[in-house]
Amino acid sequence: MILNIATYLSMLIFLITVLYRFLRIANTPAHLRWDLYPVPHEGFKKAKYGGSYYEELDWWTKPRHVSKASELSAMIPEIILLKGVWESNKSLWFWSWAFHFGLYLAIFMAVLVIASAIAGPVTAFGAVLTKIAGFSAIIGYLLGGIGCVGMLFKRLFDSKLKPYTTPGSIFNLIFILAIFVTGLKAISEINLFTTGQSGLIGQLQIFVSGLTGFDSTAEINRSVIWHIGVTLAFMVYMPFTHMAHFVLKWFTYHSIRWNDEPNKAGSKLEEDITKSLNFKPTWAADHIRADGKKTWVDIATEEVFKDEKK
Amino acid sequence: MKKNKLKIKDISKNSEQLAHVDLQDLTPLPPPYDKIEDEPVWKELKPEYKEEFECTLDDTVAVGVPKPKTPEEEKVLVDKFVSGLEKLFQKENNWTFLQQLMLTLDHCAKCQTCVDACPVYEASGNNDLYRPTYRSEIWRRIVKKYVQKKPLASFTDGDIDLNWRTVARLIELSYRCTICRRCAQTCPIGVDNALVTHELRKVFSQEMGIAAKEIHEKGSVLQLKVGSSTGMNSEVVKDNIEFIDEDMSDITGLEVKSHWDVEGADVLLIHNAGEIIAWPENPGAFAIILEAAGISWTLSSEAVAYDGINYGLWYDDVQLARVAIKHAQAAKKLGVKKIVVGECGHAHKALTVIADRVLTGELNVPRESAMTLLEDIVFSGKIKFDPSRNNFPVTLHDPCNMVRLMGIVEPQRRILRYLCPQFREMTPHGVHNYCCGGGSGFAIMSPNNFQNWRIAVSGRKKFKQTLDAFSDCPGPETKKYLCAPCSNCKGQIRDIFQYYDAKEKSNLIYGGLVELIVNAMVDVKEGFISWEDTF
Repeated sequence: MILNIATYLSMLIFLITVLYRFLRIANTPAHLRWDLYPVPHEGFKKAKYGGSYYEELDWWTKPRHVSKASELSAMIPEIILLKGVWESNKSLWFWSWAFHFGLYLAIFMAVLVIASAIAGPVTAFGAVLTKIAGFSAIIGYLLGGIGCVGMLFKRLFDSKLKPYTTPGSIFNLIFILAIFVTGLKAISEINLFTTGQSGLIGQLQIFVSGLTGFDSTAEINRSVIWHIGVTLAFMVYMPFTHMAHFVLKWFTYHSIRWNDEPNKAGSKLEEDITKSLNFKPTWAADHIRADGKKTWVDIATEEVFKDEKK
Repeated sequence: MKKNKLKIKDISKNSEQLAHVDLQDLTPLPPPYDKIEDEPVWKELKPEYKEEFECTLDDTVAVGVPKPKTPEEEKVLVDKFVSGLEKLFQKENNWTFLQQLMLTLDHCAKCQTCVDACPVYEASGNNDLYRPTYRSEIWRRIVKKYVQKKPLASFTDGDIDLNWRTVARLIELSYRCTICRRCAQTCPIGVDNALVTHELRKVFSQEMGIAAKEIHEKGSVLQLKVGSSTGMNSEVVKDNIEFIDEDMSDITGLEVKSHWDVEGADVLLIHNAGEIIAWPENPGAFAIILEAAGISWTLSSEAVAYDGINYGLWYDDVQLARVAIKHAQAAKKLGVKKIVVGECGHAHKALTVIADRVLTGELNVPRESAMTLLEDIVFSGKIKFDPSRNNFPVTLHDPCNMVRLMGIVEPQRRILRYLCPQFREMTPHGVHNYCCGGGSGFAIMSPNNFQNWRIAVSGRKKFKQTLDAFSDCPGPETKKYLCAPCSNCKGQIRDIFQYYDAKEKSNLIYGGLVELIVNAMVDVKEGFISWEDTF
């Protein structure tokens, strides 16, 4: 009963916090452009060398091509393989990749458990999902655990990372390591692939079925309870930390680095900018001449300095 | 005095000097520049200057913050800084960069993936003070602890103390980054250390009235006051252009005529006015090309509009907006079809990209790069070229603002591949280029011994890259040309070459793109580019 309630609450807190952080960024006003090339949606050819529509004569008279395929071809290796870390920080890459890929597999396992619980574990389809979930769990937990330990060592002993390591960084890694370790402990105690009460994936399926059916009578092994408990605690904690980048990274790329949308007359963007230009700043330096009443337009268009002596 | 193993918290300590640049630690240059004993000795800061101004960051001073004389003055400095930091996170004050800043504040994983991308950090021999993450981490900790007053900030984000010395050092430290954004390019999460530099400078300028004199007082303020940061008013600039036209006519044998205030022209050309003073052959070459191609073009004699610079880009959003609006108003008044930005990287970015979300309605006049117009002209067949006139080794410097931050990569290359038989690329190049070391205003800043720093440290990587590009012909017997289609980059490259005597030792000169185009024009007398007249 307690575990079920904790799960509902944890998921609720996780979703609300992530949504809050997402909306908080999404609701910031239209901002100045800060693009950084290559911008992959410029298309495969241009993205290869980092070109933009500014390379075309009278670019504003030409239709703007945005290639989602090219964008995806940049995103997938970045998400799956951490291509950027590979290119710029090879000594960290394996640990970071193992850590992230381990998490992906653990999440994938959770999705499969939910799917197989809904499909019915005893069906042929459910049995296949159970098998894949089992493999995802063992590989994911092992990889994630190795990645965590490696990252911990790097953070504690690498001269490049150590000065920037905070107690919080260590705590975060130990917390995630605890998920993998408790998962591995559960695997070591219970048959991984068996469906039903005697298997780990089976117990998780029963737990999920209990959650969806509001039934808290299922008997779950102590080590599985520990694993679920640590995972839930992390779900509550994580959105409050920098690890929320798993969602907010969408903005750093799509709204900033790759945001090359030109401002066109009569557009929604122009409307948004006009709103921002009517904010009333209070910057205090003399040359700004802000008084909290003047808008950005007033301040930027008034004749300044001309009356001052050279 | 610490060279390495610098801790984040050291910024607040009452130590004599936080870091030292040892010439022995700098990354080696290729021969004949490889002997450390030949490296010019840095000017020492005068003791009386050190007495009056804060000089405890490293061996140089870019801004020169007067030391507070009383505890009250110390408190005022700190309070103003905190007040400015608070405003960075208010949409009324910082709608311009609020979203970018919030993301950069909260999502750094402290993985240090970005650090090796920084040419300043690398050239300095990995001096911890110049890590791109050093200033960002200090800023992040201060914001979490003193602005957001986050519970457990010291545990989750790391501890820091905020006192007047922290603020004074941060002011200086915000002028040790060229805002080239090479670090941001490598961040897997999309965090941007260069943005932190930008926003820190903004707090210092917009809230505290503190900025590097060369970019504020002698830069954007002077531009808004008299029309140009060069100090030229409208009459003087016209006289100078007339003189350049005459000079160009003599040199080329063509009649060169620049046009002023032509209503309804197709193109309003805006140069960095520094070209007119320092490199007159550049605006001269533009006039030659546009005339030969039969382009309908004009210059504007409106104050501000005859100088494309917009130093606000590096430190002050309000100054940026004021200048950009003046440029657009001049174009609107003349009724031109488009503004073309001359060979100036930051002017490109300021007017074309950043101001795109400042200029609304009728002020949103189309704006484009000179690179695309020049490419169109060169390949249009309107002008006859003889590429053999450019048969000397040429390499290309990619101005960060134009290339990494705007994606204008190929037009200038297509021209060089066509007109320069011995064109070769630097490594790396294009959007992965290295900054000239003069970015974010450094090229025009030489207070105290700052020039030593900006050449020997921040410009070092570019000098090495240039020399490496000519490694097959390093000696003075081969004439070599570094093409830098950006005024500020040229200023920095000029100073690097002079500092290391590169003309004498390597027969290395620099210049813009248009000079190479004119040099290859069949109708122009041979020898437009002269190795003898440079410097």
